[in-house]
Amino acid sequence: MKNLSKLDIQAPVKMPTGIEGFEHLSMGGLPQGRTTLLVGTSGSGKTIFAAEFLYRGIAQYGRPGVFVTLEEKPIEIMRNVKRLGWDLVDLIAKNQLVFVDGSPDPIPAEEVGRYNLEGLILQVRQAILQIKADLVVIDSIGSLFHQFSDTSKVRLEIFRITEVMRELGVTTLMTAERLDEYGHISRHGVEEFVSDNVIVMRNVLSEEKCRRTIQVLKMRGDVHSKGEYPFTISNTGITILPLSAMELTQESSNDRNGTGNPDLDLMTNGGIFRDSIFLVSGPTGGGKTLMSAMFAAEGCRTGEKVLLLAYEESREQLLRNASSWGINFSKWEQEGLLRIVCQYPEAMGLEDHLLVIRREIQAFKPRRLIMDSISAMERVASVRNFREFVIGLTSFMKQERVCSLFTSTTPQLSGGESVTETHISTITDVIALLRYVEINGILRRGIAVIKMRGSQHDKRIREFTIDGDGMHVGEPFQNVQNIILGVASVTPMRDSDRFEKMFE
Amino acid sequence: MAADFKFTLIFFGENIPGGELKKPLERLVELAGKTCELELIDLSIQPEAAVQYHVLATPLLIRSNPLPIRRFIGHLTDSKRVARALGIDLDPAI
Repeated sequence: MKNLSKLDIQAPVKMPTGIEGFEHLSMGGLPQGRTTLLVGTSGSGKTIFAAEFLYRGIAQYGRPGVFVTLEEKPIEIMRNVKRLGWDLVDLIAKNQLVFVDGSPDPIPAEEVGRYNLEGLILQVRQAILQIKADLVVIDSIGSLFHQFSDTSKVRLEIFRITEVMRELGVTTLMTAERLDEYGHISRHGVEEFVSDNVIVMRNVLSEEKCRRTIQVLKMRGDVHSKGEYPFTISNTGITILPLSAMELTQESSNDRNGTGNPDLDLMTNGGIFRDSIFLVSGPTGGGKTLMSAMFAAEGCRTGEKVLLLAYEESREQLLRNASSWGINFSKWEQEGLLRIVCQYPEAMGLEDHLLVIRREIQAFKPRRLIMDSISAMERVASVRNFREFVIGLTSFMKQERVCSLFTSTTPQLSGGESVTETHISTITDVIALLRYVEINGILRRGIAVIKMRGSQHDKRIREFTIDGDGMHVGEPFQNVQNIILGVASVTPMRDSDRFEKMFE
Repeated sequence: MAADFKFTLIFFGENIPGGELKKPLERLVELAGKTCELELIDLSIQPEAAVQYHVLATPLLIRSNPLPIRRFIGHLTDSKRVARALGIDLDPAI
């Protein structure tokens, strides 16, 4: 048994949970030796979180654990998490996990007098001592209120359980239900007497999309990230998506990457930095996919791995278009330098898209990444959700030091900006605009680099053409205004020019 | 001859001795003119019985005869309530 007074005086130490993203959110994990309350509406993912906490604690950190289930039968829980690849039966066999089955009996016991929950407390205590457990999960504590009618007694006994946990020095995670996503913390006010640490999980339906979030509501005497963070439940468990600007701590690189077009390299003063994010914005048919293909080709040519995420075109279309510019994607794919992932934006929620991208990056380890287009994602999510996606994505790119090119489709043929740009432009390092320019009834193409962090760049708007060899950047436009900002207009020649012409 | 009732009384002896706990039940059976077989399990001596009998609340009384098996929780001091719950007819004694 641990020294009580000493434990109480010490600042809480946090214990990593192994749940992806949670350490970041909680700034270290769950407070060791304390009880944390996890609340959420039904279906918000509490049991999965609790099970993952226990599973990873045992399997990754070698901390024995007790699972006290007051709702589902142990066999049901074991079956449910099996599809996530968590073999609880094996852990039980290894004496690292013990279930305490407090699920309701099919025929409920009849209450005939005063009682207490000594039997439950005894079972939990025994289980902890039996395997020298460090972790305890109780799912869900609120279920006791349904099994026993004496509410004030149940409250007292729950308090007593937390006392036992404290005395044994175990780190406890208790779940409790709540009725509303934004209302009382928990249904029976459990948080009032149970815990200094409260985590809230939500599953909110907004704009016909389910949005799961997790929030650390309080962590007494310690710091944590504020606010709701989106998370997703995939075949590996829970992944919480970091939204903060963790890239700010990343060191920057001075190496430059070629864009695949010598003219554009000149405009960007030698290519874009290796750890930067390059946004190419333009109207439909404006040359964005060509720029992506060139960027990919340049990577493959120099032996760098390239991940191409396509959200608007099928694989066949991509290969065909690339080959029309003399770029052979199939060959590089076979050599293992290129990986093309085509997906419909509608196929899943943004959290899941983000997770898929992260998994792809972790597995393939590309040096360059192309996302064509990021604005396609706009249509499957709310503005807020999209912004979170962009932040989560870019911070991950920075962290993994992947040189990325995002394309964004502008709604108008000339000028204007899209929602994508308003949300992404401050996060990107280089922005190139592709625009149509109408001069004397002919559509011409213009390109401008409007931003380049940490480097000089060509500030003029240049004309470019596209032919079978790709893209050719030419001379700056003369006498044309408003190319970027709106409808281009030709200004009259200056008097001096006119004067010169007269004598030609 | 088999007893009319068969009970198992599970309790936590550190809180209350079993002898004191079973008294009202025995008195009740006697009043009704019936016989009972009563097994006492003290969890402070046999803690493993808590898992075996799936005990959350104590005291717990299990009636295994007559069937079906029924479970009752709480002290047995309120004789009317207990009698009604257990299906013991007190009327002949009154």
